[in-house]
Amino acid sequence: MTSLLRRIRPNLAIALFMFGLPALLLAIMHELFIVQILTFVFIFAIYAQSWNLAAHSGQHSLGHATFLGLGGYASILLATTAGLPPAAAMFVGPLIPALAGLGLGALCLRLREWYFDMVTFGSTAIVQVLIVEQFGWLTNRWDGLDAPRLLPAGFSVGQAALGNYLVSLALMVATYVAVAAIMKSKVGLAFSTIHDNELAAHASGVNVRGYRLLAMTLSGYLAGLAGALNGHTLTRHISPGVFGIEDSIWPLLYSIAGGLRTPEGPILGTFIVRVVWEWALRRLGGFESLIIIGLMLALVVTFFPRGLYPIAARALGGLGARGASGSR
Amino acid sequence: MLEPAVLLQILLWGVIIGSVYMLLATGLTLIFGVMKVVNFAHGELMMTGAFLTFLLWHALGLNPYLGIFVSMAAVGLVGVVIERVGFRPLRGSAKINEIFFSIALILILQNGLARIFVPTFREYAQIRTPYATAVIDLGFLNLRYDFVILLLLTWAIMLGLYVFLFRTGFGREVRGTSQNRVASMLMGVNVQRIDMLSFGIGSALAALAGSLYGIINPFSPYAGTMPAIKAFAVIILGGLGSVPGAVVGGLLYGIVESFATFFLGGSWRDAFAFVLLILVLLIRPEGIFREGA
Repeated sequence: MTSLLRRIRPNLAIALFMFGLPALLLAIMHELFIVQILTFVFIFAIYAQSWNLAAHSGQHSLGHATFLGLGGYASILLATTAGLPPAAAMFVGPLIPALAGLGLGALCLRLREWYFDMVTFGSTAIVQVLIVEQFGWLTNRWDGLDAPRLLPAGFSVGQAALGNYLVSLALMVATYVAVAAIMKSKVGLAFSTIHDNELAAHASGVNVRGYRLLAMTLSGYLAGLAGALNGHTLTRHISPGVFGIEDSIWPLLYSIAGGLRTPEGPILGTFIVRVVWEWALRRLGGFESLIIIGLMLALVVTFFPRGLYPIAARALGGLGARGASGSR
Repeated sequence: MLEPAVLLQILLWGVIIGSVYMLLATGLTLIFGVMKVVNFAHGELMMTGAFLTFLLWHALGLNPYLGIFVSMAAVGLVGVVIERVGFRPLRGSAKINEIFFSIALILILQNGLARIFVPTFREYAQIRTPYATAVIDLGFLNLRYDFVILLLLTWAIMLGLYVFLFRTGFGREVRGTSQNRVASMLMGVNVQRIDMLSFGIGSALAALAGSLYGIINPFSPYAGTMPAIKAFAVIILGGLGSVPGAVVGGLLYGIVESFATFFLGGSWRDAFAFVLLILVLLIRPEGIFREGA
């Protein structure tokens, strides 16, 4: 345990920086619109982090919106029908997507690469139908559900936005530390071995099935947490539209842009892609912006297959880059 | 309790929609066989084809059944370009780079289409052929003219594909590359040309599938996703890389889906593919028609 602590010490330094900078920023900047964008970045960095964790074990899911949506629905339903305070429902609800991750992982245990991707890609479609048709009495079908606020009533709009900002930031940093610790522990080593060569991992005594399932379960929980947080803070509403392809594409886009399989990559990537997105959206239409995002993805994959974090880290003198795995 | 005529009508509808899945799956599996790539943007190529046929008819008044060929050629060319500038440079790098590239293509194609489509045609459009209301009354069954033409057209093109693959030198090179890329290369086959060719053919088949879809259904730029997911299910069912598996699987899937929709209700239509996929993966993960290699 102490050796793990020593190993993640650089990550803790980065975490302090990641928490400190935006918190300081808050002291000098009160632009509600920027607060909202950054809150979005924090929440979706958690989502990207969850995708990245599964990818670290070689499972590049193309259906992560399943977990994002289930987390949102579960948390909102717990808050509205079971009367749990949102701040608690937000942590209990994601147990449902964690279970879904376990189930989907079990179904895909024998699958890799294309097969794995085709099944995960299709999984969101069935979850959407189940939510709308089979659980329509609970989920209000296509109209969706309104979500209670994360912070209790009585706060002004500005105060609530600041609260959401700080809670999201804290959770993003906590997720970062947790994922960095996992990646640098024995579990992370097992994930990484499975990613590089499943057969060799199996031959050297790594419990491939167990670790693959663990990765999907953890990933499902974190993605669900992001979905719940998003529902209670930014969107305040959830509808079956959450189970679309786009929401499955965003996390991999964020992770690739920042650097796959590094705990810092998803955060940096979410920030960069989101800034480009907000810029494009203000100058061009929504369709054009999505085309630009698509072109960005194609270019990053072709020219910077290791993402931007290794480049940024090298520029900063290799800070934390030792943990960054080189190959995919 | 159920009249045979009703069952026949359901069957006919299943064969028609099954043809869409068959064409999509055949294109996907042909590309996979040669390049070992699954193009996740196949559904978007399909909608590009549908939209081109629609535009040729809507703007120029071209008969959709002629427009289909123009659209197939155009989308085939798009496929060749995608292979050349996209997938080929990524070849030899990690598999996920190819996966991510095809995801990027989804965003580019889908929103490119929507950019042109949505401001003018709002949400949905449909290709109307001159025979849209013509029906052959067989007494026990009403057969739409369009269905007959579409089936004939589809099977003529599938026959053409068969002749190409099994009776020409180029076709033999395609099959050879699919079986063993390195050996084909050593035998003097220009495998990169075969890649471009297969991607072009696969994309052209997607354009045909899209046009067919657009004649029988209203469509939007986003309508290609679901049929593509079903085609994924079909090629897993039929075995990745197997053309007979894609043909039989696609048709069978359309028919079963048609009956399932009738008996279980429309809401299950789209989830059904996934349920089937789960069953196949649990029982027979290598597919029903696995390729020998």
